[in-house]
Amino acid sequence: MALAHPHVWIKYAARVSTNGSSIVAIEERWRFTEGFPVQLVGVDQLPASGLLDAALTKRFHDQAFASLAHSSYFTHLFVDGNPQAFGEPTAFKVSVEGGKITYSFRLALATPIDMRGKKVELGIWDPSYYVDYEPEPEAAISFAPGSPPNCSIRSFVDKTHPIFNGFVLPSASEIAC
Amino acid sequence: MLAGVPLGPGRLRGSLSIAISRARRHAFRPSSRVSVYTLILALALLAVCATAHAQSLDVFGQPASSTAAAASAPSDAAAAPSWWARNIPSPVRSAVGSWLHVQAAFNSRIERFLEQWPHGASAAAWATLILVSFAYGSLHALGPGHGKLVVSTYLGSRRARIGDAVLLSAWTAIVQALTAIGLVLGAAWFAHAGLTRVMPHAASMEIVSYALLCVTSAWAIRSSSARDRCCDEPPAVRLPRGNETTEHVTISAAADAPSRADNAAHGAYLGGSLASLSESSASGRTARSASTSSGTSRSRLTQIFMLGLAAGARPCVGAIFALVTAMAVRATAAGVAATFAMAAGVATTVALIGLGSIGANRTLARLALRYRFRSTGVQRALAVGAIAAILLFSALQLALLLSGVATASFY
Repeated sequence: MALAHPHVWIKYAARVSTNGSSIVAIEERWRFTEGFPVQLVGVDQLPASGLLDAALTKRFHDQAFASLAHSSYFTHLFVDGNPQAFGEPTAFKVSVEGGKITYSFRLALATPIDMRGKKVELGIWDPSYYVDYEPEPEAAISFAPGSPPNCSIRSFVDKTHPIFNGFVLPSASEIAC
Repeated sequence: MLAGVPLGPGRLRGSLSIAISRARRHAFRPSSRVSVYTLILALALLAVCATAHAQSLDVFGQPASSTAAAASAPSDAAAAPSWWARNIPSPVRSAVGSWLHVQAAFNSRIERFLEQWPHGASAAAWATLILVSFAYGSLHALGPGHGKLVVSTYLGSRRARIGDAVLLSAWTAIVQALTAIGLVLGAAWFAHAGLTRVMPHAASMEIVSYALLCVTSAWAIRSSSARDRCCDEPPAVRLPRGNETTEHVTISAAADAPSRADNAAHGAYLGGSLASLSESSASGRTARSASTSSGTSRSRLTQIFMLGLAAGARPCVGAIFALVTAMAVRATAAGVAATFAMAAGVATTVALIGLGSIGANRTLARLALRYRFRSTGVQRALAVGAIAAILLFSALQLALLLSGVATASFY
């Protein structure tokens, strides 16, 4: 898409999964605003809370997730400024939490990235700005259990990847080991 | 641009002659009416063609045909951001950020309201839904799309009236609302389809909108009546009444108000020069002036009708989401009400921007008068040039969309 102002709002959190000092996957959780996208299945079919069954999960996957493959699920990982490729997402789940639909999935890197001595940046945003991604208020980006203790994550405003004609600067995190 | 210019009787006679001569040459022609019918037919045909062209899009506005193989490609092969994008002042970014957050809050409230509608809707709930939807529409229209470019370009390039801004903005927003309602209800009732089937059609309407803008602007440039009446608001003349007072009388005003026209024709305000005109000659001129005014008004209304139809053909996705959510909870009436309330908000914002364009035009006209720069040719070139700009922009967008270089933009 050329340009759009947001019609979908998502709060996200991500955990960086590592193997030693290498990043192997990003585990993400997207929380939609109330009422979206319940239109896909109808309010009556959604549980009050908890995980959706396999049939409903497949419907969300096919109709409101699979198409994001060509956008790498709006997940941007840069190593020394170079964008990294991802493989197929796994463990896709849909749940209702506090009346809001939530996606969770694991996005493995095509090739694990050794963080040592490199500038690593992770962020989630839609370049077309049809979807507005906002980090969850607390610790939006963190390490998954088992990560090296000497690694750190620092959030910042990414001025090098402006969106919406420069009017919006996405949030991102710098990962260092 | 000539408003308020003091004219002597001889000069006035010359102006009247010019106006009458124009009226003879460019009276409203039946061909314009035919153009309207042709345009409506084109709308129907384009809708069919564009539907065939449409690709499947999901709730993220993304092509649903994406393959898994594409997932392995890095997502950031984009070019470096422009200097402007990197150097927008922080206060501007903060203001835009606040606008986006408020908009998100309104949108979320609308969705939540509609979702809970089956549990009972009081009068207060209806009022809140309408107010929040209106506010959302007002804010949402500040972003890209919604006909602002077309409306402000059209109004700013000619001597338009305040009523024109209100009419064009309202009509454009109404068409947008009707398009959204037609798409959603049509998909549900005729195809028993949901959101995923509506989105491709919404994307197609962008093609229809640009195609209609091409046809409309090409017609406006080609049509001699539309071209010549782009900017010829009949000049106001300051006529002496007695020795002290003066009054502005326009040819259109004379035509619209017979008593004033008669007075003018009989020289009540013009002194001896016009009084010497024969009654029959004056009556004929009055009739021709009325004809000119009527033709100008019809031409203006036709242009507004067609521009609004073209610019409004592309629906607002916010309205589509509200409608689909409302239908999902069997609260269609609430969704329709919210859609029209959003349209009213959009119309208000677009009308205010249109009024700004009119103000800019009138300021330039006053400056031109102050510096004694009067040129009908320049006026006409500006008006036709603006329409030509709309034509070029629409044609370019249409070419990009049809060739696949650009994909649909949802506003």
